[in-house]
Amino acid sequence: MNRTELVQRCLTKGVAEAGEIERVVHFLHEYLFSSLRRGQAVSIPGFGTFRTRLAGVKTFRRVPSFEPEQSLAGRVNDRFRGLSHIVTGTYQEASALGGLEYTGRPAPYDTILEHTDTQRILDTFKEVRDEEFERQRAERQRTQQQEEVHTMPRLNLKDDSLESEEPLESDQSTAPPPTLRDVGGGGGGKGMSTILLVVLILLVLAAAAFALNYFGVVHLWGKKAPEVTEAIPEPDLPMPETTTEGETAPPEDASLAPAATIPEPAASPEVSPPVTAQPRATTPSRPAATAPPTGEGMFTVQVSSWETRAKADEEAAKLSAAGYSAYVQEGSVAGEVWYRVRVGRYGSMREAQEAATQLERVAESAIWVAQISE
Amino acid sequence: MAPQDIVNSLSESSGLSRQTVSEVLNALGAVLADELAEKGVLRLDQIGEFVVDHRSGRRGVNTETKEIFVIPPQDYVLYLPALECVERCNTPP
Repeated sequence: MNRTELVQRCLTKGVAEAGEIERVVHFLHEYLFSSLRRGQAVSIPGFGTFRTRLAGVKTFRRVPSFEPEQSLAGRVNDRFRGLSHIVTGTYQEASALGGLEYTGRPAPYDTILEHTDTQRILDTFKEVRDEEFERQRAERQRTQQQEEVHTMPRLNLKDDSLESEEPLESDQSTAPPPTLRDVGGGGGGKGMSTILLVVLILLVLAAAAFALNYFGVVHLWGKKAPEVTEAIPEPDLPMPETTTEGETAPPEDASLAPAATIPEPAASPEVSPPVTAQPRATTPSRPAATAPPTGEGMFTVQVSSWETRAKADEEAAKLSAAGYSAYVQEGSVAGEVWYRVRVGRYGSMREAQEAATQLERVAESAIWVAQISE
Repeated sequence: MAPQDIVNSLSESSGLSRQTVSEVLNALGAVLADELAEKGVLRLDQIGEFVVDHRSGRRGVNTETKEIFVIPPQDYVLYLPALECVERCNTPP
């Protein structure tokens, strides 16, 4: 519509002459642009208000805008007049799912029909009906549960129902996750039972090994019982009456022989008392000798070496109780005093080696042949 | 600026009475509104184009109250300023 047409249309109203209307339109045109240039608003009664707003990032520009009057906006929106926002429901936090759950009610379409009977409104509202909400919610839940299935361990899988294409019902959203009992004979349960079976077998084997070791059938760990305890019982033989003073000292050759195998009464009068055989623990231990047995041999068998005299005496007493001529000799190694438990005195290295071989069955420590320095 | 200011300014610049200017402005606004409401489109030279546009209904969510509501459809006036109008608004006086 140009200015001439506008004047002709106003002239039909009969408010003024054509010249007056044209002058008003002309000055209104100029007044409109000058006001907008200064950022002022111009209102035309019955039509609307022209304004400008600043737009731009670095260089601002005035962009004219128009706001229709309430009467004009109402006339333009006559078909949808009186319609207001309709609350159809609310979203509530569903902690089990970690998302939103729709708890709404159907939209009151009857209320809409009271205001207008335009079919276009109903068509428009069909796009945003609750069915759309339900469909979107079900799709979101299905996607979320599929993600959880991929992240959850295999044990929590419940067949293939979660991966089916059927839409999820509202009851499924509140159902607890499947447990191991629900899985039943699934692949995850079978693997778990296999692991439990292996663990059970290992426990049984460990218990059997412990029992065998405890009762001494098999020696797997712990302190090995010395065999001396079995060799100590001595035969119930009477003491020979031909014991002489010269036989009190144990001879070198017979000192290594166990009392059970060689019941020589002259080996040691204290070792073979005329009593019945008793365990070694019950027999009183005689004091260990501190000097090597007399003789001309230059070799002896060293059974063990200790830092304390008491321990060395104890070990020597054990050997003496078993029938060996053990003694404790003090020695110095790197400035420290050690107490060596030695047995017998032999004239040659060979004899000493043989005696050491026999002693290895009794003693727990390493045995070697030493040369007497004295 | 109030409508009375526009009437006073146009009356001073045109030499017409304020009553005449006021009546002409009222008639002018009525003619423009009628044209726009009847035809849905109004084109004014050097000012721009007024179009009655339709905004369909849609879903809205109030994030505070978690309410879901339906926003009804609406017909509204869309103003598209002419290029000359924009240039003149940004021309220094």
